[in-house]
This record gives sequence, structure tokens and C-alpha cells, in this order.
Amino acid sequence: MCLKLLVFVKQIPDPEIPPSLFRIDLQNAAVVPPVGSIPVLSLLDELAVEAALRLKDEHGGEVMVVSLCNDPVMKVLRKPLAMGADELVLLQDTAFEGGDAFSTAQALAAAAARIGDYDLIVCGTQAGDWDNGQVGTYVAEALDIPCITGGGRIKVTDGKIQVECSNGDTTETVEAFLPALVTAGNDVGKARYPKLRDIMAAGRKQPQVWNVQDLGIDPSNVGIAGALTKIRRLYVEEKADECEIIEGDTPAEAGENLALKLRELRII
Amino acid sequence: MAYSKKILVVGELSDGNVRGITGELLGVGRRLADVIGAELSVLFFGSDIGETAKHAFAQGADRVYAADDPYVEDYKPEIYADTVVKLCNDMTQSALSLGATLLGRDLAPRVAWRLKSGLASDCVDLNIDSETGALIATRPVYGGKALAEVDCGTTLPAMATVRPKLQEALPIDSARNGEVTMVSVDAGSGVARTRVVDRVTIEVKGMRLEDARIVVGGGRGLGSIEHWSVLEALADDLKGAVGATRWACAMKDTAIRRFRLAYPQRE
Repeated sequence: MCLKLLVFVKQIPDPEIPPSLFRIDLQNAAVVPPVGSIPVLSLLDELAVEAALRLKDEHGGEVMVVSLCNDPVMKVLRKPLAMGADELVLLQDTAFEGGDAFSTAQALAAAAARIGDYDLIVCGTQAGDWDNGQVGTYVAEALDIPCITGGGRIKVTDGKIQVECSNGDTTETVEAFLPALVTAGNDVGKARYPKLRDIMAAGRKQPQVWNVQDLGIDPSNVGIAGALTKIRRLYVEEKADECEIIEGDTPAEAGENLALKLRELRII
Repeated sequence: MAYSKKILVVGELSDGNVRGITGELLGVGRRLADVIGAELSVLFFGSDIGETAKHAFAQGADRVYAADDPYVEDYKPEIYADTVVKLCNDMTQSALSLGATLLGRDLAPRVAWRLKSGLASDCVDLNIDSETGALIATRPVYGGKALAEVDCGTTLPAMATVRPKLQEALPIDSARNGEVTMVSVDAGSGVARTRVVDRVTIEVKGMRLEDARIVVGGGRGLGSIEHWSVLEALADDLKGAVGATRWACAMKDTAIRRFRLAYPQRE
């Protein structure tokens, strides 16, 4: 069976920005990325793309990527296309600004409903910036479809999915009827690297851009107007770091000195 | 005594005991309940759990609910969500808190959507705004580089999941006691939309990360998967566990999977 797969991805500030360059605009409770730093796709969303592409490889069909982003860096958002996705839809509207997980999910669910006929929606379990871990579940609830969180390997047979969900102690195989939504966790495994030729081809593909009218939703349901939570304050915790480098003439001696120090402090 | 405000904790049991996180939630719940003059309740799911659930009174609960049914012995997302939502609708709750555990992380958004409640995930602290009475949740964001204070808004109940091992449980007060209130479970067909068809226990040697006092952490700086065995050996020597950063966890590899990555999303 050919599958119509939707993937939600989010462009986020590079999580590898070192703490020393990490700045916050206290007034607006927002992060200010350092000049010249390039955003990335949230890691688990990239794994969601990978999970969808593997299903496409196996069953055929198409992968549509949807992202809500008012300041897209196209090189970043085209990465799923370079990996093998077929289409990119950008949700762009000033009305989306200041949204929380709840109001973002309203827009994504409306996009999924507009696309229609999807078999499976995949997105990262949580985004690497705000780490809410809510949007996927909210979209599934809004669309009234089954939701499986923290999924690894996904198998599709006879209109059903089976998803391996691992928690360290056990691996469960969870089954649901399609259409369904799966949030992808680390167990998906490594995402593929796009080939240079595919990166070039992706660069020529134009995304579809949809606004609030295209989605047919009430602007009061999205962005800050539709948000249920509010960031009251965003700040960097004062940390009094005390770091002692334990020396030694050889690595072995340094290790021994470290062990002695830890013993002295009664840590070990 | 009748309270106009109520705070509900979704409790967790394991092997006939109230889990540590639930004691911690009751500790923070008690503190908040005393600030706003609320009743503190806890809801447990399981089969034949009445006696175990009673322990929650001594841990600070004013009321203990039990959804006691073999059908909910294992986690069933949709059934649990429906039961929590029903309890919130029957008795208007001011606040609802769950552990940021596997169960809580999955269950909380399902409940929040249905109640149209503001949810703060994976919090390290909960407080009440003295002026507005709103629940203010503190949570790490951007991989722990910053902290956000989230106002959970005016829709009741305000919701939060709380990270384990950060809040203090109250000392056991065995003078506190009470009767467990039974809650019915709607096991009707069509409610459950997902089902577990297979469950495999993973044999992992060494200490559980959740239980470890010493954690040997590693990340991208280690450079290669082969170097992880060094961490494992060190963790063994220190009677600790190996932890890994987000990047390392995503490097799906059998070598890394051997380690217990109970908090895979934490840097």
C-alpha cells in the first residue's frame, strides 16, 4: 500500500550554542541567537523525517513536511526535501506569533486537515528548544486519531501500525489503526545524510506557504491569542561554578589523583 | 470539611508501593494546598490497590481515589485520560500535577487537551502567584541553559508535570488516615485506540540511572561509540550509572543502547 505521510518539523536555535554565547532578551522573554549562528532542525523532528522516509522506501507513497515558522531559513527547512521528502508546506502568518504548544497544535492540525487523506503523521516527541513534548499529542487529539508517543521502529501492515516504544526497562510494541500519529523518539536511529545532488535539487523546490485564511481557522485560536500558557520570565540561572582541574604527569597519575580526591571528599 | 479548591495528583504505584515521585508530588502539593486553602487528593490506577493507595494519606493526601480495576493494571492512555478528565469535571480541580515520568509525559498532554488546560511540562518547581493565585511553574528550557517561569493560565485545573527527585516528600505521618474513594473506569469498547501487543524486558547490567547516586556522563566530546566502554567501566567502579547527552542518545547504536538512558531527552 502506498502511504501518505505527514511530518511536522520545527526550526530551532542551534542547541550547540555554547552557554557563554547564550543570550536572553529579558524584556520579551525570548532567546537571542548569537550573530552568525544558523538554526537547525530539531533533532527528534529530523528523526521523524527519517522514520517517514523509511516507510516511504518500504511501501511507496509520499512524504509531506509541514512547518510553522515565521522566520524560515530555507537551507534548514529544505533539509527534509534533500533527505527525500516530496513537499514542504510552510505555515506563515503574523497571527502565529507568540504561540504555545496548544495554539501551535491548532494550526498544525488545521494544516493536516486541509491536506487530508493522510495515513500517518510523525513528529518529534519534543522540540529541542522548549522541550514541551505536547504538540504531537494535541494534534492527534484535535484530529481525533490514535497517538503513540516516543516511538522507535514503525511497521505498517493492513491499515495498522505497530510501533516499538522503548523505555530502558522494556520495549513495548504498540498497535493502532491508521490514520494515526506517532511522536518519534531517539530509538528511530540515525537520520540519513542528504546527498549533494539531492541538496541541489531540494534548493530548487518551492514550498507552499499557507496563512490563517488558507487554513480556514479563527486567528483567535492561534499564536498568542490562542495560547493557554504564558512565559512570565525567562532567565539564566546564576551558577557559582567551582572547577578544579586535577593534574598528574601521566593520564594514569591524573586519574589516580582524581580518585584520591573523590575519596577524600567521600564521594566514592 | 468542604474545600472549594482542590489539587489533584495523579499517583503511580510500583510493586505494591507508592512510587517516590508520587510522594514528592504530594509534598509539593501539600505546600501549594496550604497556601491556597485547598484539599489535596491523589488518584491511583491499578488492580487490587486499596491497601497500597492508603499509604498516600500518611504522605500528605487529604483524599485518596483509586481506579481499582484489572483493566487498568497496565497503562492504557485513553482510559487513564478519560478517568482523570472525568474526576476533574466532577470535582472542579484548581491544579493537577503528574510526574514527568514515562506515564506522566504521555498522559498529561492527553488530559490537558481535553480540559483545555495550560500545561507546563517537566517542571523543577511549582508555586502560586500571591496576587493572581495562578500556578507558576519553573522549568528548564534550551537544554537546561535557561529557566522559564510559566503562568499556566486561568483555565482550571492548571496542569504541570514535575521532574522526579527534585521535590521533598513529607515525613511519613502515620496519624493521618482515611478511606479510599473508589473511582469507576469506563472500559467500554472503542475508548482504547492503542494497544500493547508485545512487551519485551530488556536485560541491562549495572545500576538503574534513576537509582544511581553517581552518574558518569558522556556526550559528543567522547568522539566515538567505542569510547563509551570507558564510561561503563568507570561507572561500575564507582557503583554508579552511565548517563548520556541528547546528542549521544540520538546516535542509535547497539553499543549505546546498552546503557540506561532513562532521561534520554536531558542534556
